[in-house]
Amino acid sequence: MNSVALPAIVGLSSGLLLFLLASGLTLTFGVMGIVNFAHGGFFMIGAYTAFELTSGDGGLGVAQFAMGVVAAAVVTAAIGLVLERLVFARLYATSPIYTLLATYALLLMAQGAVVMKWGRLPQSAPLPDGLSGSVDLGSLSVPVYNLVCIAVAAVVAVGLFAVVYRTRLGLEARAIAMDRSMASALGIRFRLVYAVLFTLGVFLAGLAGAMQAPLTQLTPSLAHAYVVMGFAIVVIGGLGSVTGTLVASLVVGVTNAFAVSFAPDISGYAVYAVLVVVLVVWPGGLLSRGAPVVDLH
Amino acid sequence: MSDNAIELHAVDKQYGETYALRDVELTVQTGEIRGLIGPNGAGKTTLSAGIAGEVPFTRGRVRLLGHDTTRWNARRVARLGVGRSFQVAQVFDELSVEQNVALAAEVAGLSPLRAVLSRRWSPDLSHLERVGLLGRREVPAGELAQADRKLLELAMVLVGEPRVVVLDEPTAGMSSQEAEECAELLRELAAEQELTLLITEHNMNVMFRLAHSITVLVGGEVLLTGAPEQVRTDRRLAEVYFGSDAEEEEATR
Amino acid sequence: MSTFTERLRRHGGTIGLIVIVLLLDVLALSQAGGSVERQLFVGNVMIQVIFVGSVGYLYRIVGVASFGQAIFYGGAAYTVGLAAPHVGSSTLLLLIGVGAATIAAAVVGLFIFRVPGLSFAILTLALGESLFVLARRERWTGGDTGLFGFGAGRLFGLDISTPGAFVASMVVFTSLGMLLLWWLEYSRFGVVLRAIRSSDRRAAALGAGIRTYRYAGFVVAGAVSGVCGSLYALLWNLVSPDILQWSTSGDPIIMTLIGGMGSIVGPVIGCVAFLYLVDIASAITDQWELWVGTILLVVILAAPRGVVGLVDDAVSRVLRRKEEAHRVR
Repeated sequence: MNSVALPAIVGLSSGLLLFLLASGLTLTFGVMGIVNFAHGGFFMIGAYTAFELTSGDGGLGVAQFAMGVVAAAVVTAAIGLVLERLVFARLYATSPIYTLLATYALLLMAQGAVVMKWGRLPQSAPLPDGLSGSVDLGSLSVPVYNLVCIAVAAVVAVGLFAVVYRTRLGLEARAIAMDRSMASALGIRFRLVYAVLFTLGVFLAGLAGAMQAPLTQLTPSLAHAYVVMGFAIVVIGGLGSVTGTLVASLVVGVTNAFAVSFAPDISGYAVYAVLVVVLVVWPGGLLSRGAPVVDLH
Repeated sequence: MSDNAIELHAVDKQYGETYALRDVELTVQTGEIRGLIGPNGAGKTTLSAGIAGEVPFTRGRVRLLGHDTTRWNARRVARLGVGRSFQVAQVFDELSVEQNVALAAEVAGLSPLRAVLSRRWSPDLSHLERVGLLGRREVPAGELAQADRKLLELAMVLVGEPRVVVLDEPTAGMSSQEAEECAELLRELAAEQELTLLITEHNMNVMFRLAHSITVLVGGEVLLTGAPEQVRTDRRLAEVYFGSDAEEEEATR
Repeated sequence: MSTFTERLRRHGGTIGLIVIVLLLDVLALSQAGGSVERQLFVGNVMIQVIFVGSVGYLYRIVGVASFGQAIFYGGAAYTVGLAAPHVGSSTLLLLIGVGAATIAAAVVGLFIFRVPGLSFAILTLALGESLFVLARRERWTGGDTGLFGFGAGRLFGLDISTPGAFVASMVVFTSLGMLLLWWLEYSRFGVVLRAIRSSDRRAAALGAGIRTYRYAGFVVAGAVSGVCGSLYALLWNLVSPDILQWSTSGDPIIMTLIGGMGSIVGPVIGCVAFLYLVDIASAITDQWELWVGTILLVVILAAPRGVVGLVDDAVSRVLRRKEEAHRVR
């Protein structure tokens, strides 16, 4: 029992962080119709910014760490907003291929910028002293930080669902996703919705990166690795479905954690095996009932 | 029974809660020219698309040329011998007029393996000649005027020697002269090749002159089916198109 | 426009292709006395233009987006590397490599019948990544170092034992490769694919087997990628996991974009331009990612139809001015 519970908890925590990352991809795709390859770049920027803000001599307090994480997410979001206005706004009307390539270009630039500032060698982001130990839950010894990640990510996720399903903005976003021409006839504020939604997605990616940072080796290839993972999740869950993304993120997180524990040889491509199996059985993704659907649900 | 080219039984098409088509019954005999009319949004395009296999009906049965084609997709329906023309002519813009027709004639039975082995098409250009486009065979289809695109599309449909043709507004975008010529052409071709036609049209002159019988579709349901004269003088038709002002109009004539 | 210029425009792609192939052949032959480094570089260019050409074909003609062509390219290279200790003939090694790539493409391509376009693209991305991880991890694939030390003799009778000889032989292979790509586009097969791209509604309404054609196109592109991967292995006599990275799949897309996505000649131009650009840039700076990314972005935003688009626009302008001058007279 013990040997299952730990990977389950680790899987839950990484799955929820993955959800924060992947939700941005789903929103951009479902609402703006954009396949954003640069999204992994935002994750990477969040991770490295948090690293920059929290590393240094002396001990790291929890409050300081928290502020660093939040600041990293905010900085990433700011960069995202600027890019949205400058670059992405010009891509909304073009073909998916060009968007893909433009965003790939951005990914390369982000990687280049990171290499310029921090080099290619792996870095380690520190955990604050207060969160670095383990806590005993019954007979189980669970790393504190994983529990913190679960808590924070869960709260943020709930907040995201609230925004999508309970706010005026979310309603307009869902309307656009469902029927673009009708939405424009209804006078929905496209530019505002796009800008806010995009920035929100980037904020979440940056936050995920910042929180993941102490758990992973930081290298510029993070951007690329996580964008691939993000897309795999989005496809598994069903393109455009936020709920599907959540389910898929948890499936991927838990699968990865179990693979690492029990079958480390295949842990590198456990996710992709899941992707292949899912696509064979449900061609549109888990939550699309067999037929490919592109709307936000 | 086997004399019927098209049979629809209890056909529904739902989009979510809305019914685009409800309980449609339709029977078209072999060799018949059936017109399909109705106000905008009545479901004519949905009906045509569904018969051609482009859109699945929610409920009901479809029989074409003696086969149950209810669940068939557009490709299978086409291979059965059903031709299709669209409201906005769908031709291959990047290819020449001649290539368009050649492809139309050969693509259905052409496997990729055979296709990769040769460059030559051997098109039957008689249909191009019939619609008057032979002189422009090298022109890229994208450069043709709208009316000519429709004629090209017609040639492409006919070269496949279909037995049934579903046409969506064949004279849309044509001048009245062009429309009359097109209608005449359709009538001739249908007679020569014993075609069954299902034609959706807004041009009433063309419709009443060309069709053997007409079905009126309103709000997704069949209002009536009958001979052109019958339909034209039916009270309900006037109401549907013009509202009850029609009665006043009649009175003041 | 006079009929001569009309015909010229229409066959512009073919003419351009012939010109470029001739130029490349001259380039290859001119390396006879050069340094090994230069010979390897040009040899690589000669291989890449075919590979990129096949990727361009996949996007432009077949209409399938794939981020995993590295599977077939790198997979073939690894197959050659693995078979080399047991097989002496380079010709046979090439055929084995191509065979492996074709089988792989035939299997992966089956998903085209099942799964929508974007999901398929992501699937190919994921499979490529899996193969990359596999290659680095397993000992029998040589791990991080890869496979090396296999020599090359003669390929279909042509000498490829030294870089110099290889480059000279590439004249034959690149020309044949380009001919193949041209044929795949202008044969009935290519015309059907182009028609499907033009209007899949019309194609379906004519009874065309759309997904069958796309599948066939995908398998063919995979096979051509396999030829290139095998040639690559035989040129360098070494295969490392880098060949399976996403950049192997992604760079051809970039090159196609730079050169122009709308014509047969675009990918080739883009490939040559890109390879020389990176060659020069990495000699100058370590930050090549930043530069390449910036250039790419500029190209996309300023010249979306690439080099070919720019040339096409310029030619149109010149022709129009000439016509107007004619009319005024």
